[in-house]
Amino acid sequence: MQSLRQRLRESFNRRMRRWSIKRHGEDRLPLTLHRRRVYILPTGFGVLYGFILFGMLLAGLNYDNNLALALAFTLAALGVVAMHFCHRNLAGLELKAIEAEPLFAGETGALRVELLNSSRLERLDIELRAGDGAAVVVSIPAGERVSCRVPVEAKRRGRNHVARLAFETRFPLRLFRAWAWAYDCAEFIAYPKPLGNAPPPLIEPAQSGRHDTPSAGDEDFAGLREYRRGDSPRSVSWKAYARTAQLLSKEYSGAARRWLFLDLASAPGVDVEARLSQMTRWVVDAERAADAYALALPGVRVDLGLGAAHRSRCLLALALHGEPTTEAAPP
Amino acid sequence: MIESPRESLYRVRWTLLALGAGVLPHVRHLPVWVSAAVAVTGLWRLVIAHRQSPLPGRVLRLLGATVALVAVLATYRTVNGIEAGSALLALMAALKLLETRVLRDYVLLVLIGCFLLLAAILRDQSLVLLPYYALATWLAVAALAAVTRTSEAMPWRRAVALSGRMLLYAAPLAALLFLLFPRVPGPFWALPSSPRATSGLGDEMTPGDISDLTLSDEPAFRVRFHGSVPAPLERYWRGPVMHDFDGYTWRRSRGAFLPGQAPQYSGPRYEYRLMLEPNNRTWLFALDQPVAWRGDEAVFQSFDYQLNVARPVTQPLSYELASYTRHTSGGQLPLSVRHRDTQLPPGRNPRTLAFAAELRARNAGDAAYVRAVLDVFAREGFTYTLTPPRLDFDSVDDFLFHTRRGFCGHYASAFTMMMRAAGIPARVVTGYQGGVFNRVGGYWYISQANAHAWSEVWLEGNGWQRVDPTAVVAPGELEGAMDSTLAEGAAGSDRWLGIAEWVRNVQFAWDAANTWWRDRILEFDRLKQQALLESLGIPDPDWGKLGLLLAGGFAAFLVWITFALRRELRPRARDPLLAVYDRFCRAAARRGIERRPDEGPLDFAARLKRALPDAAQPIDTFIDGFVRARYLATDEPVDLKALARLARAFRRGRGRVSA
Repeated sequence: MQSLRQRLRESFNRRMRRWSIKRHGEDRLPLTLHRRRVYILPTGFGVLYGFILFGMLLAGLNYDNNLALALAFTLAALGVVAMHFCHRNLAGLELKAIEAEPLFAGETGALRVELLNSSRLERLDIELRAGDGAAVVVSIPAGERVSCRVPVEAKRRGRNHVARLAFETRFPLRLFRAWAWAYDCAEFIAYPKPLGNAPPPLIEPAQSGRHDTPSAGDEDFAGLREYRRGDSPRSVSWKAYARTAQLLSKEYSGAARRWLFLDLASAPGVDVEARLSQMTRWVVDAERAADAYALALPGVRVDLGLGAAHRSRCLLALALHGEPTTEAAPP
Repeated sequence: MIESPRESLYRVRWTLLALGAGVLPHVRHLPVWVSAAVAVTGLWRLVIAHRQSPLPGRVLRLLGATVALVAVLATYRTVNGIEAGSALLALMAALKLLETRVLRDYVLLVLIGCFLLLAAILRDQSLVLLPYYALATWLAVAALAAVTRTSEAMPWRRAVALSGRMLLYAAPLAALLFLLFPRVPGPFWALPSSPRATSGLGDEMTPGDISDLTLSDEPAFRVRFHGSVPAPLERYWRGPVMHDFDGYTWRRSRGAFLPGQAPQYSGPRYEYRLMLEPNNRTWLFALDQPVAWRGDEAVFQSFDYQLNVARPVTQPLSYELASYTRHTSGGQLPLSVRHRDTQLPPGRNPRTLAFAAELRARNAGDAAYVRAVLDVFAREGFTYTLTPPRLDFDSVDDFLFHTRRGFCGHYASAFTMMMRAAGIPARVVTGYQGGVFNRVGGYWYISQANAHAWSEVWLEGNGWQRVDPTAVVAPGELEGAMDSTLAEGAAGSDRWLGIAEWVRNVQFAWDAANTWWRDRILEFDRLKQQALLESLGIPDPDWGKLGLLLAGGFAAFLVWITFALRRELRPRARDPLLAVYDRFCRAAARRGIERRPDEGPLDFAARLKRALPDAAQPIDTFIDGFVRARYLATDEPVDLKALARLARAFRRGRGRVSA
């Protein structure tokens, strides 16, 4: 039965998505939650409120008591006003950017969602939810831009697609729930889950003294090189940037203990995912142990190196192994 | 989702406020133990929230609920009705406080607070309490807004301001609903009968029992004359008529359906509106004698010209009336009526009977006999007093031949008995006499202090005629209580004297405000609704028309609030120069080049020109003008219009623009 419910739900979500795209077009960032795409329905409490108001109305009519009727009418009108307040709490909110921090498959990370409230009103208690993940509640002061972390779970290795980003609010009074959905506007990359305990293949002791020492660590300053995407802002030489208006990264040479040559072919096992996981484990361990490592995947080679940037390059390559590479890798 | 301690304290405080505002107006009706139990439980909950100690266990709560139910049953013998119902609701809400864990519990409690407020309103809707009710409603809405916040606590000022704004927005729709919602007459279910205190005149009169008639200034009713006003001595307001006398007490005839006579009326016809205070009685008052009446309730007249309604008047009731003060009836009195109104209890008040026989022998004509009896009252040393001695079993004997001190009831009783003893049909009429004119409100105020009793006798050829023996004893008492100083110890009658003029005006104004409130708001009923719509040019309004109007008004409200709220959504008013620049940037975005947030105007222009080489010139002109106006410290005035023109041209231009 569970599966039937799930299937119905998925089919409903698919239909909603198709309908939304037909109505509002493909969602592209930056996206404004226009009032026409903000939907609203009473909550359970709103329905209860309605019943209680009906009771008050009957009591007022029955006892022929105009002040009681006035109370019932005031509260009823308040409900209508609350509906409008609830709707406009969301309408016009701007979704400026979504950034994803890479994470390992199976982990729960967060999307950094940047929201802009360009109105004169503070928007309170807005819940954000990515897919069927947990919700996060934010309030955005008037005219301000806030960034919030929306939890996501990496279900698989590689590109994870967030099918739907849901915005929801029940402010004020919780009588109504207004919501808006943004489809297909976020994705994030999950590295393979580090698994396996096979020993890393092809270990060589580090050779110092060679001119083209490929090891790159964090120890001693070796020179400047052109900035590459993925370099840590901390390694950017801002002094040089001020002088030359060119982004340069500082490079350090360090003494790696060993060199590791990691090749997919050398990972044991048959299942590609398991082997990628093993490779990931090696990369993570090597980085922790300050061993320089090189990576070889079918079609991808990463030269010997060490450091955070090198590590992310390798992990990204592992994450995207076998995925269509038409798109540029996200930052 | 279990709340954090801070959240809990915050929510408990707001919930207690809302609940307290609902319970407070009930306190003066509730038994002390209920109020005390609610207050103690509320404080307990507050302490728990402060100390973050655990809530009491389920057993204790169940025990509390059982005890409360049993105690309410023991006190009221029912859980039905406003009294018992609100007591039970208050107690249960207090117990519910002890198990609040999630948001839903608090929200429910705030709603219970609203319901208690409604119960309080059902009990008392006087003008004095209106500010309280308004504030309590506001407080309840603020509490609802505060407890339903999820991301963080809302400062109380914000909660109050937000709810106030929402209520202001709601006011037009509430007023619309109030004016146009169809008023359904009559109760849908039987109102639980509660022993309500009756006030004013009763259905029996026992002058001998009363040794101290305290006159209260409580209103009996108010009257607004539409045209001419009767002279003071004609302002007799007819109430219950007493027929049955047992020698001591006069009583109304219950279940008497006797034939009446339609007299011929003469003199001016007085038209007026009478606004009756609830007195829990089934009779109405009218200027003697009413000939026409119109009201929301079905009014019927009994054979003795008294106006009645089917159920006790528990809500303020207004009706339109017309009366003549002069009337004659040439016909014969039906025998059944004559029989009833000449009945005397055998063997009671023997001295009076003997005295009547003696007097009757000397005065053959009925009219002469009436004059002779009045002469006795005028000459034989009778005194009008509000503190008469108590009377014996044969009260009329005791009064006529012994005490000779009394108020209107004594004289009416004695006079009527003297008439019956002589075979003249007579009855005691109770009601009110006089009234004070409220200059501010333009109406007459008849208080309980105006209560009066007089006599009505049947004179052949004239019909029923009013005879007021009190007028013979204390004529001043009748010409408006205001000027009366005749009655000794008449604490009530000279209460208007010696009061500064402005105090009196304040009293008048306050009573006028109350009357307006009652007449226009509390008694806004089907008839007034119809009158209102007719005055707006909608003839013959029925439910269909009301529904259409209501729907139209509702639609108009929705349009209004949509636009009113959308206006608030607009960004803060910007520097007009920046607004023009924004417009330019939007135009560029439409052509595919969006300004990055970190891009200055010169960089943006350079990028723009690279992408749109055709439009290089207008871009330069605009950006140059903008940068000059914004960044150059010059005194030359900014030509905003020219810049705006350039921006517009750039938007339309697609490169074919010449600046």
